[in-house]
Amino acid sequence: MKEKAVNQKQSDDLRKKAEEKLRRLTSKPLHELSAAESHRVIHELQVHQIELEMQNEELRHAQEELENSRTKYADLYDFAPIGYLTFDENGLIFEANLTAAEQLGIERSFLIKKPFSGFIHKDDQDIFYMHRQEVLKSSTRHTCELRIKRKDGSEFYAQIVSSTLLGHYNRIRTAVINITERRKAEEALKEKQHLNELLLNAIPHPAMLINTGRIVQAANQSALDIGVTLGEYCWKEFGKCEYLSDEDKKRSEDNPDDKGIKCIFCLADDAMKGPELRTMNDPEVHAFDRVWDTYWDPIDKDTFLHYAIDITDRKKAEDKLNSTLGELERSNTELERFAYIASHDLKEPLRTIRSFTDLLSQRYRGKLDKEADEFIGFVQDGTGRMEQLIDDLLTYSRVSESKIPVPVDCNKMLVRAIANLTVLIERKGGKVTFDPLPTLMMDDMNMELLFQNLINNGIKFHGEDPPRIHISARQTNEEWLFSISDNGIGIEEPHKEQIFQIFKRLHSRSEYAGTGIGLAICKKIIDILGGKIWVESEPGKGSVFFFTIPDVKK
Amino acid sequence: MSVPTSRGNFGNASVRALQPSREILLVEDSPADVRLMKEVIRECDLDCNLHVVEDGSKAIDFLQRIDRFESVPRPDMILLDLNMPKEDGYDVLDAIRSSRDLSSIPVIVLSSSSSKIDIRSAYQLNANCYITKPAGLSDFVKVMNSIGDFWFNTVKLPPL
Repeated sequence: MKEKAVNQKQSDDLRKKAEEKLRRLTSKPLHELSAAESHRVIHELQVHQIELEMQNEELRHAQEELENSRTKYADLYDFAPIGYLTFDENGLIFEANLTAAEQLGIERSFLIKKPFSGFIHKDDQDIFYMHRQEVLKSSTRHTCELRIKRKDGSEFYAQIVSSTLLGHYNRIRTAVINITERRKAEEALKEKQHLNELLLNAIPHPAMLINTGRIVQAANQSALDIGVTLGEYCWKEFGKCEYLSDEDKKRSEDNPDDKGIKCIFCLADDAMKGPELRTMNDPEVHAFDRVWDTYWDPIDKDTFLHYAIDITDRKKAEDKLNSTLGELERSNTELERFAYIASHDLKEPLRTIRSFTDLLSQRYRGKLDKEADEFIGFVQDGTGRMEQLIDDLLTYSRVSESKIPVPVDCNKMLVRAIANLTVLIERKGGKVTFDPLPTLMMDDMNMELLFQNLINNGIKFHGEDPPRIHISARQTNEEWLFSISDNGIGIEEPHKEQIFQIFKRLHSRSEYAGTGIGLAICKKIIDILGGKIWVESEPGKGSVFFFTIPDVKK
Repeated sequence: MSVPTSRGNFGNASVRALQPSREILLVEDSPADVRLMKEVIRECDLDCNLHVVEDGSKAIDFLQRIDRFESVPRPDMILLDLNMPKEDGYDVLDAIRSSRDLSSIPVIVLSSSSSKIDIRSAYQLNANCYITKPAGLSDFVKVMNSIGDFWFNTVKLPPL
């Protein structure tokens, strides 16, 4: 209605103007005009009218186009993918597009005259306040990020871009961009990076992620420790570390253009089979095993996990082991030397004493006096024992680890041991029986010695009945349990451990001869084989010697 | 230094009667062992002339009849100790085996050592046998008897 009234007034004004113009066109009133003059005026008026009509038509046209254009821009404004808001001097919304209304979850009409702060997360209020101040102060474009709270209470992250309206220094136009997706992607990336970091740090060796351009993207602490720098070309870094073995250095010198060789970052399947790599970044020289490259993510073929295993400790242990082995070898040589000296140099004078005492005894027995015969007897006895001791000690010292264990048929060894003792067994009227025995990986000499000493022991310490010895073996979990049982005098509880000590004797020489080394030899052999030896016995009824030998398969 | 020893008259007197006494060279540095060997030979029925030298270089001189050994006989057998000052038993053995004239003489190594290394080395240098000196007198007599029995009665020695 109002619009119509305005239009009416406009058209009345227009009429007045037109009549005024007509008066200026003719100097006298219309009724005083001649026919010719009237014609001219009428013609003139008609032309004007047409002219006016044409102008009018053009105006209408322009008006229409303007209208179209306005609608078009309004649409663009309203349906823009980002929200637009305009704030008045008091910071109240006085214009908003449909997107903004949608973003805020409210009808557009309800937005007008409302403060924008009502839609901002309470923790982010200051951000927006500062942002507005900055824009008002500098009149230039500013950006911030904050959380928008919709009418329904849901939230989203928004980027806010604001500037003052042209010609209105205190009015602000703001674009609201929903950056939830971007934020999510960033969070996901951060999480992935965090995960990468965790995984890399879980690798107990210097490890890093590099891309095909050999830029270090991530590295664990051990890698950083040896001089790796994030974001840099790995070759530069490794140049500092001197990560190359001599062989690799030569290769890189021979192929100066081949960075693949130079930085020994060969990709994936082509991992360098280098020997040990050393880093000079550390005062201590580190040894590294070959360097590995492998796809970090089977889908993302741009990222490689690059790592080398630090084998410094292993190398040190190897060095130590080698020197210990050397020492051991020297000490073994010493021992052999000692054994030789004992066998030769120690026995030589003893043999002379023995031989001439024998001569003395043979030629002068009964020719001196009774005492002299007795003394000669003591000397002979003493030298005999000394010889036996030296021999036993030698045997004991020669029991050593077999250089190459061979399959040993224990049955054969036992038969040999029995054969060695035939004289003794027959003299005592003894009998040795055995069950089938296994074949084991070991030193055959040791096994024979073991049986011989144990059987000898059983025969020697026989009781009133003729000695009976039985040998058997059975397999338990991962070892063989041997038993040698006898019907001898047995061993009393307190002595069960002592008997395996060297030169330990439980009886006087007049009761039982011997040096007390036999069981010590057995214990040494079993110790070397990694087994155990013990005795179960009931005094007067007999003893059972047990020993175990680990069942080492070839 | 030639000590003719001949004793005992048991069993094979008729065999021995057909053969001249054997010449044995004993290479031994220990006077006690030399004496013992003489006594042992006395104890057993070995018909031989025992010549003794106390070290390796003298043994070589003896075998090559140098200087004072100009008129010694060529031994039928050598009893060789290994452990001696100056040239030891190995050197003597090596010299004997390298000489065309001497290489055929049987050499019996008689040592107090029972070390595997010594035994192996002696055989590698072509000793005819290796005997560890027995500890007791009776064992020693037994050994010398079996040496005599084997080398003088059983086997044929290389002709001169």
